[in-house]
Amino acid sequence: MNFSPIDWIIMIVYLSITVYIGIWVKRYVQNLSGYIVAGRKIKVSLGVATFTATELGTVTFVYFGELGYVTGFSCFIIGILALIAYTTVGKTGFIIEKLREYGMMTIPQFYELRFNKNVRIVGGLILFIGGVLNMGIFLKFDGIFLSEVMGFGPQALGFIMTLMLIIVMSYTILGGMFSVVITDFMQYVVLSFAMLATTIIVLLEVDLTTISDAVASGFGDSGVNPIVNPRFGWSFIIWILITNIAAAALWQPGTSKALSSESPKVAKKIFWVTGLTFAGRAMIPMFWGVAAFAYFGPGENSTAAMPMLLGELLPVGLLGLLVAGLLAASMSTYSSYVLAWSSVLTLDVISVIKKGGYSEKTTIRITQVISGLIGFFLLIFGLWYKIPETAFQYIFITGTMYTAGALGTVSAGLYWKKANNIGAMCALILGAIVPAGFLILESYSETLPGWMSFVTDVNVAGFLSFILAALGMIVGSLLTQKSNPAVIINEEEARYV
Amino acid sequence: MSDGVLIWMILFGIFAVVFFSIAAIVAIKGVSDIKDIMNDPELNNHD
Repeated sequence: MNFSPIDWIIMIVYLSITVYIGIWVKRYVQNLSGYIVAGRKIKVSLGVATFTATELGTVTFVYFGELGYVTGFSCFIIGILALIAYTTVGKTGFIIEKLREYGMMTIPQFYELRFNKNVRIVGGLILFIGGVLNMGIFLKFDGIFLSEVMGFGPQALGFIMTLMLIIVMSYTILGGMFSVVITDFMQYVVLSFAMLATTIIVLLEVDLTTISDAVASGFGDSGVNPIVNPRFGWSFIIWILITNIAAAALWQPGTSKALSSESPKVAKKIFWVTGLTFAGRAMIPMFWGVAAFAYFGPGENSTAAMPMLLGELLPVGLLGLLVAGLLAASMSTYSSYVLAWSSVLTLDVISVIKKGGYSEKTTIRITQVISGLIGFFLLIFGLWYKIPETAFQYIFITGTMYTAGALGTVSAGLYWKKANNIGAMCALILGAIVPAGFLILESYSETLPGWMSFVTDVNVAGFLSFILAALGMIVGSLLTQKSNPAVIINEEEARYV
Repeated sequence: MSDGVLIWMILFGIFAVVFFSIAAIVAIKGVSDIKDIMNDPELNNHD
């Protein structure tokens, strides 16, 4: 076991403080907007901390580290694409500025404002399913990482992860977005320090010449050139860039930070500054993965190689701090995601179906119950589902199930006057079909007829879903302009701030 | 060290510095953001 008593003390003290503060801040929740969007009181620095912490879970380290181990430096392109996408959204305010101006709490709320209730229900359901499936593997990967770093082995996995989930659920269910942002801030600070110290130690222990030689001999040109790397290529680059732009603007856990911000201007600034960190967010764990390749050589379990490296190299105390930081990272991701998906199902599906809706108190209660159910699902799903290819591709294809349709629906809804409810419905459904087909058919790829093989190519499936969604919106709207005239939003009435 | 590795290492260095610099600034400024929320009169009528 790599974990010493000092490491244990650091981890336990840190977790105890987090839970205490997370539960304590529930006193600031006065109403539904307090629970879901922190009363729209978030300023730039706190917004950047909570946004980055949300998008930086242990699973992020695992899939980026894994990519570094199996592709060398070529995967660094993903960091550059994320940087371009998030800073562009921050600079232009693409989608997020308008959604914040309208005072939305969830993205499907906009579907009803611009289209109708049915679009909101369908959009909310697709977002909920895609979102929960997306986080379905988090627990499993977090478990692999922590058990390897701590040196427990796989048998302790279930226990560690169940305990962590209970801790996160306790404060997320009670305190909503206030608990999320305050604990996210602490987690961001601890994790950033641990990442800095870890990077320095990896650089000291595995020198750059060794890494460079290992990449050259192990991967050749595909270790530095993403275009020639068989896992990437142009279709991957275009798909990931579009997905990143869509996710930046429309991925509820992230977008909720813009919707929780003080003003549309603050929302843009949060995205701009956070976007600047996104290349580092990807490249730092990827670099640890490349270092693991240089240190162990090929042949290790690709998911476990990077955590094993950290378990071997990090000294007593720093290991405890890193594990505390990683637990923190996971907790902040879980809390934001669980709150985001439970809010969507409650506000955009259950409350819309119920005539007259529910009171704010009942709505918060329903959100809390759904949060608990999502937690239970994560445990069950994480244990049995076999993940296709690498974790990174699973994460992106489940995300695409929602973002492809949402990008077409929201961007056309905001910036194209002819967009109507039929077009929106077509975009949402067509955007979800190909990724869903991939997830179902991927395990049967060998028995499928040749003409259907494109569905089981993750890069093609992802890219195609955006094209289908865009076509669905354009063709669906243009063909039904007379029977379903587009609804024009009254800017004066819709403006919240 | 090949040109490809050198380019990625330089980019890695730049973006790692950006990441940690922003983290340091946010860590300092974020404390005052939290204080503002705690002292917000709209959110402090729970006593």
